[in-house]
Amino acid sequence: MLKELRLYPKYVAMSVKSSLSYKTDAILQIISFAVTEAVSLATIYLIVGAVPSVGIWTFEALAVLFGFTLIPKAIDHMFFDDLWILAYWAVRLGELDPYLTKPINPLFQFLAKTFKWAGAGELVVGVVIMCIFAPQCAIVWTASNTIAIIVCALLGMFVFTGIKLLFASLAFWVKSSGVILNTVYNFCNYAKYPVRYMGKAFMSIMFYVVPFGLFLYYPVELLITGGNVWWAALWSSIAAVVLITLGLFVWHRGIRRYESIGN
Amino acid sequence: MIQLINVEKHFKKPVRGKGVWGMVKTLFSRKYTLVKAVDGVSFDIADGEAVGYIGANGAGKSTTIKMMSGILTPSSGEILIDGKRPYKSKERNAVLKNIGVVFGQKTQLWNDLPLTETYDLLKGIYDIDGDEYKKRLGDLVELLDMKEFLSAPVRTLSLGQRMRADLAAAMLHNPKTLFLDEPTIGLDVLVKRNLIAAIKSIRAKYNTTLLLTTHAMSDIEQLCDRVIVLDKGKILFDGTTDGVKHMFGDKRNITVMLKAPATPDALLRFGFAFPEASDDLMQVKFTVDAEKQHVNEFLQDVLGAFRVEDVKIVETDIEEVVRKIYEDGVTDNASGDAETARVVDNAGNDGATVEDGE
Amino acid sequence: MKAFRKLKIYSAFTKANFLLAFAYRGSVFLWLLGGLLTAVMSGLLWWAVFSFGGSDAIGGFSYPQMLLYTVLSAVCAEVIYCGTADEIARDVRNGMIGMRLSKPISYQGMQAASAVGNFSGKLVIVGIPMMTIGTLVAVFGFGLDGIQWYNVLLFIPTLFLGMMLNNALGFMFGQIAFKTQAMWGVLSMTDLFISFLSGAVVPLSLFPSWAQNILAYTPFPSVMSLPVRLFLGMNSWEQTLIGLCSSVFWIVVLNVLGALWYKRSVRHVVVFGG
Repeated sequence: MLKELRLYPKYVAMSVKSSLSYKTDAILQIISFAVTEAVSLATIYLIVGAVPSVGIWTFEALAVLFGFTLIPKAIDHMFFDDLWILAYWAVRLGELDPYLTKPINPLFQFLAKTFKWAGAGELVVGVVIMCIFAPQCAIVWTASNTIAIIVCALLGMFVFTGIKLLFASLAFWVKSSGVILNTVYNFCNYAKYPVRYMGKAFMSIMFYVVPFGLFLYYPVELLITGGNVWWAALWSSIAAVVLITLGLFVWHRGIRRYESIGN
Repeated sequence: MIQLINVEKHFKKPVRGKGVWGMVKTLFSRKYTLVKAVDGVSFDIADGEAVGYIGANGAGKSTTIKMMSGILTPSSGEILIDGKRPYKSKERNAVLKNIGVVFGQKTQLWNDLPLTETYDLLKGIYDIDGDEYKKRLGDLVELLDMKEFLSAPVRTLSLGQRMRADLAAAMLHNPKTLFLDEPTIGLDVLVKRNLIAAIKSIRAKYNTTLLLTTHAMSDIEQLCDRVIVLDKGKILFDGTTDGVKHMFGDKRNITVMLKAPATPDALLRFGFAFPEASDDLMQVKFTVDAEKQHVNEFLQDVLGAFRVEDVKIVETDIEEVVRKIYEDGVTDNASGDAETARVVDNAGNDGATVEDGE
Repeated sequence: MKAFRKLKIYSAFTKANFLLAFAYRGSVFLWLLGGLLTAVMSGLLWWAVFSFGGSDAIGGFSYPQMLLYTVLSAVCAEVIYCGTADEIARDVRNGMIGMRLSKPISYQGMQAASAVGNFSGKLVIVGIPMMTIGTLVAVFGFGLDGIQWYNVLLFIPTLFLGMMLNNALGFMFGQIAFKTQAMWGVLSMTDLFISFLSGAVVPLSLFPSWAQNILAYTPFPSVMSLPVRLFLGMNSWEQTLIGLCSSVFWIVVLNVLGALWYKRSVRHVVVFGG
């Protein structure tokens, strides 16, 4: 573990250096994700805009929620994007070989080698949207809820990573689990709606079946209604611990079934 | 010391139907066939030995190497490298610290960065001491003649350069054992010769144990004292390199394309080389045993006797050796339909006139 | 005779891609499962929106219509998705494009033929079953009316044109692959862009009217909005006819533009050696 932590900055530096030889690509990636998020925000605007107003959720409040959901997703995207590759083709094409022959955690090597600029773009978009709309929402900022919301964002990253690891590792059984992961992952989009007001079934699914409502929606709801954001942080940390543990467990079981390629 | 004790590796393969209806049925079936890629393999390799591990495509060579280097877990049996199992998470790191692996078709280098960056990272991964690292890298750069491309991004290297760089990466932490899986694949003759020479000098310097898979018999001859032949997951032969050569001989298939049809007379004169002419007599294939006959002289004679347009020489390859051993026949004439097909196939490639079989 | 032989070559690509749709048995079931979950969530989402709105119709859609629209557009999105741009990106990345260039058939034609096969395969394996189930649920479970057999029949050729449009757009966007390696992000952006503007994400009638007016002069509504609204019986004959003409017009225009752009891209390959 210590060796991994010590080497991590080196990996990130190498990955950043690598990506600098493709500057256009990095810029294109950032633009792609900015446009994608703009379309996503427009979708919410069109759907929710079709009705007068939903409880406490004015458009400004929804925009703050939207901005917040991007932040944990973006941080995960920057550092752990290769889980998508694991899900879609690394297992099928035997791309894990080189990481398994080195005396250091293979999952660590696989994930540490890629840094995604698009995630950085997404992070900036999220923070900017929050900064624009938060002042229009009558939020009372205290030291406590500011720290709590930042903690929630960081914990949220781990929940995202845990979910991705869990479902990407299923690829060891089904060869390509990208479709499953994509389905589950996209549930995060529903956390951008006023979850509590969308009916009992919708709310229950988002809070109890998939945890996206818990760690993406709930902190912002507490923030806007003036509740104690630390409750959301507590739930987020539980979700993070459970999902990361599950994800690691499935990965470890799966890697023993790994078949490489050429048979 | 490497020990393999009755190692097996099975893969499940889904059964696929043929045609449209078969495809539809496949949608709903969960049938598998069990493929035994490695089927009860046992051998020991002593420290400092150099072993060629050969067999046809799909014989299970790569699967064995992958089990020995921590990539795959055996279905049954045991692999012990200095008493430890590379596929057990607790013993893994101890084993991997002492082995180096190169896969000819895959690189472990960072594509967009200079080599030195990858090496520097490996220094951290293997906890190589700073002075030790400098000295070793210096030695390897010299042995493998890498000075000129040390600071170029890996993606700009030629295949031969990349191969040498990968070899250096695998040797950087001074492993006791080196696994090379098809290191010469795709390299042209000259580059290949240099690489083999470099591996030789590395072994001479560090006394590394070597396990090598290849398709080219000449690689084995030059590097290994011992050969293990694998077929369909089982060991077919385990003995000295000389033994294999003796069993089989060192055959060359020489195909000449002619400007004018060959005359029966001329063909008869070369009867000792088992000529096989095409129907229009414009192409003749000879099989020569290089141990009994100078290929050079033979070629001179042929060029004198026929009006030759082009010549192809194909060295015997492993597939042939395996087939020979399998058929248990040590006859002199190694010709057959399959072989003819391959030679014609080789003739279809442009480029070098003299080349190794696949 | 020569034309016939050519047709045979192209139809080989069609057949291969048709069969390919059957090869991914695991992913078909998974996709159905994913689609089902998404349909449930969207249904719940729209239910909430309708109950907040307090009116029976939003953007001209009743709740059951909106429900079926959501399901149909999700299914159709999968059926008409032909991966043309991804394919080009892959050919460029692994240098296959050079080999493709040396073949005596048109690369664009090959892509279109593959897309047709892909479309037919997916239509059989996911499209028709899912659309049937979705329609039955909407009609008998939610009291949807207005589905006419002639509209359903006309729907398939209209969707086919939508797919051809999507393929032409994909061929154009695929040319970006000649300029960058970062195609994954670019393609997910262009896919979302096309599906958003074609009404696959939100019905176009919910867009502000200025946006609707602009979109009417673009190829996008014909990709998705036109066939699905036709299926639901929400288009007048006049709208359908104009829509079909505009589809054909855009298919021709976009393919010509794609061919011109491709010619330029290929020169790029020749210069850099692929």
